[in-house]
Amino acid sequence: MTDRDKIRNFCIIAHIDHGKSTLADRILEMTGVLTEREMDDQVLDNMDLERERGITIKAQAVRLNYKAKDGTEYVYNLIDTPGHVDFNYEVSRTLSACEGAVLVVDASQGIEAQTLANVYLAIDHDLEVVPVINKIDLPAAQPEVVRREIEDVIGLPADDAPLISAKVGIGIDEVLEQIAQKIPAPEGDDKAPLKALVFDSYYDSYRGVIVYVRIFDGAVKRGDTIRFMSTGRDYTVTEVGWFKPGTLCPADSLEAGEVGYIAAAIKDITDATVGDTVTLKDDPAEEPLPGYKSVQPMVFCGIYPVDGADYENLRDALFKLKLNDASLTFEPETSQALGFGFRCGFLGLLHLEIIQERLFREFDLELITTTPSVIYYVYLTNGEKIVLDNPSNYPDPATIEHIEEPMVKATIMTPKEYVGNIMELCNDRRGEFINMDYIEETRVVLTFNMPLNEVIYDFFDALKSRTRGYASLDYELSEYKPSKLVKLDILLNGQIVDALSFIVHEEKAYTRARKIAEKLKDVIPRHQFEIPIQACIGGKIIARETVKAYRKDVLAKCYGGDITRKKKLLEKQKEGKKRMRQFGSVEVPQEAFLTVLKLDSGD
Amino acid sequence: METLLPGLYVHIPFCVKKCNYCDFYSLGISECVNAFGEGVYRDYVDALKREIAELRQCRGNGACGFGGTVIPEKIDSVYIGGGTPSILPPDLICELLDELRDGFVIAPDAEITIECNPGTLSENKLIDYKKAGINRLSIGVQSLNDSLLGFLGRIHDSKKALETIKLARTYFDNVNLDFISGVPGLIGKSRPQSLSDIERAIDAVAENGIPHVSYYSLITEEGTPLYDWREKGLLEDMDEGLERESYYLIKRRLNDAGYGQYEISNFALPGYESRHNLKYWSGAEYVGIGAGAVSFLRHHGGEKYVRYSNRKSVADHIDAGSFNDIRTVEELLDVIDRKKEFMMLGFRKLTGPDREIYSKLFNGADIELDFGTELQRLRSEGLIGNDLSLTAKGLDFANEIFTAFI
Repeated sequence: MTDRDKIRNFCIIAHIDHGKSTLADRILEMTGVLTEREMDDQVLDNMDLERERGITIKAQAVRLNYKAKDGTEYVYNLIDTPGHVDFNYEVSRTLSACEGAVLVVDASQGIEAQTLANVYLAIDHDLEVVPVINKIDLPAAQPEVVRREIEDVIGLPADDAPLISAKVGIGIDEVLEQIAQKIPAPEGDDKAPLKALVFDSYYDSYRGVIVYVRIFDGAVKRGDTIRFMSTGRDYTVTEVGWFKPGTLCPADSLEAGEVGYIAAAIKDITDATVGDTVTLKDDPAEEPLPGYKSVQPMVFCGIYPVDGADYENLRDALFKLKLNDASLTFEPETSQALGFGFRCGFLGLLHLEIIQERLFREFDLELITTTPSVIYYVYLTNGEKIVLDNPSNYPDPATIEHIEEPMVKATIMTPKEYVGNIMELCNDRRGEFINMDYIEETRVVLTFNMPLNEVIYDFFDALKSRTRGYASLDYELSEYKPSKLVKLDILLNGQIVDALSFIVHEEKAYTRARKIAEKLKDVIPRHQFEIPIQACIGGKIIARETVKAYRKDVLAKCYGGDITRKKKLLEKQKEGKKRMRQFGSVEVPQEAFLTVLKLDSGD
Repeated sequence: METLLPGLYVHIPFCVKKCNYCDFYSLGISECVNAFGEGVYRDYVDALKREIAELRQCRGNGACGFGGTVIPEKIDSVYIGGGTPSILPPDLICELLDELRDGFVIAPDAEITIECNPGTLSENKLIDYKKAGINRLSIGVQSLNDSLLGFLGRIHDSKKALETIKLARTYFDNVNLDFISGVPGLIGKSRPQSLSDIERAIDAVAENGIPHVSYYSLITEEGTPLYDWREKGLLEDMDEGLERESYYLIKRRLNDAGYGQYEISNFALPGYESRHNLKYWSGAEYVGIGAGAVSFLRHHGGEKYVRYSNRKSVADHIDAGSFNDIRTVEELLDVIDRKKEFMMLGFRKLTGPDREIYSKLFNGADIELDFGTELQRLRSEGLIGNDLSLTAKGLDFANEIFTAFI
């Protein structure tokens, strides 16, 4: 067993790109769990996707041994947290498992919107925050300015904040020391009934669900019968253990204060939901652990297999992803155009893209995603209220009394020279300006009330491009507000494609309709006949484009020397066709559905 | 109809200068002499002779060819292509053909073609070709408009082309002219091809009694200057409508002058269809000799076929010890692959894939039974006729037909 006084459970929080994962790697290297040779950059970001995008999507945990300067040996449990605004909930789960957080701030960028959001979240969870100033090797580094910023803006003492470069490996030892000194040891009672918090999980095809837990009270070992308190389901523990980089390391037991995993041959992944409390069947805790919000997806869209035969595979894949991702929701739906698929709920557009990419990469599924939607409240003249997350269910306009849409409070932090651009962008997205605060001479925090449906499209990208990447964004749901919304339909060759319909504000309908028509004109390949693209509201056409017919599709030449190559060319052509969807006589490529999402109205 | 005898293809990868649209394996003369010295033609032809001798010996020993292939013996067509084979001194061509006659049994009435271009042909060469047994010329004229010839990067002008055509006809009855349609413009430099350019070309064909014409719609291949120009936005593309009008004009004018269209881009007076090229579209075997040449041969096991290629390297060819060392299998085709390929290539011909040849090649199998579903669909789409012929629509959208058999 591990001496609880010597355990430190902590996470690293940072704004995206401030060096969180690099610092994690350096810590792993310094504590000797990995030699330099074994280091693959950013070990904790397991998924290819995470490495490519430079973001952490899932929480990852690792147990390290650290020998402090005074000779004391500590056990560190480092839990890496996701960094994007879409994943605030995952961050909160991780924070609950920790006593402290290392706050990484970029010495050249300073505090960003997510830095603040994460720090407040950490403080809400009563964590001890250890600030660290990173990237001091960069020419643009201003560590002293940033140190003052941390003190003034966040109100954290930062006089002894280590100045480090995770990339080059400067100052890491000081970070390790401060973790031991500043972050408190976990508390807990080994004798009390088991209370273990599930902060993540994944499906292992040999051991069943691997449940990531933080033990608050009691202990758990192999052979115990555990109970998930939200469902009341019982399982016999087959293995407990700790996390080593990339592997699981079985242990005799997990005790109060420790972080580790439980395997209990859990087959049905819905039985081990993240956020639940695990206790023992024979000696149950009276109450589950507090503080877990139920996850509220904010963005919805339909996901359909390109090949209808993949429907079952898609369902299985979604179940598997859901195991690791409590925020993903899905239920079956049917589209006239796309056949059988699922209506899925996400935290935001990035989350949607990530799930889509994981379905493609990890499960080899080719998918079509419909235009995302938020949840609207539709009040009918007969007094009924409809909760609408799918434009297909939009009722007859004559029966609608009024519609309400969700609003968010958006916080944008930016160098002051971009204020004009941001005002313009937010205005264009129906944002209502609330406030502007100077955090220092050159930087401001802007707050807006904005409709969520304006934020979910490509607001983040648009914001980045208008501020040369300097602005940062955070948002939270605030309220529902009446709004003049209409349903916009897209017709191809005279037929409505239900999967392309979406709900939009009346004033923006025309511009958006025109842009979508233009985009579709670019992505829909030419056919042997002309294809009209029309956008309409309740039967009234408000935009129209035409895809001209092609006149020829023929390889002019094919002799003995290039038969193989020409065959490959034709194969590619055929492959491309297969990936398209047939709507009446029109073949629509998947990009058509995606490009509709990526309309930057600032163009 | 019997199945066709195999053909022989010899690749001569040398040109005076590479054309702007050409992606065949070929080296410009100056780069070539720089790299290999003046004796390169001699060395290369010697290598070809060794390659032919190696095939002969191999067959003589009862051994298999590369990839387990059966090296054929009886041949009734030879095609010397390039590159620009007419760049070689004619005595080397003569030696090459002698070696081929040594290595294979070439039918007395075999079609023996050499590709040439107006810039490298002379009366003496024509006389020597004739003596060497060549009976068909294929001349790369491409256009009779000097501005287009310049754009395409040809080394000749229209005057030279017309002279060459006349000269060729005085020595050879069977002459093919290659032309290109659908030529774009180079912004600020040259205009896209006009219909009158095509009229002029066809007039020259008819006036000179040329029995065979290949009229290719230009393809922009990666790795060519043309491709780079397109990427850089320097081209004024030909309107697709005009491109098709050009094609229809070519078909109409040639048909009126008595030429039958027998393939998507090929036209001939009756009896002058290219025997060698028809083999590619009719499932026949061919032996490829020279750098970059491709062979398609029966596997010794009987049912499978192998398509293999020689490395695209003059240097490796000249240095090769055994030529098998510089060969790679491109495809190993089982019966189903072969059947599909037979269909795909067969539909390049106006008459479509040949049912009798199919039946002979595939043990009595019937096209209509094997591909009933596909053929029915293509017929209902109006791409092919009941007799498997290509319709006018099928000619415009032939890829739709080809992909049915991919």
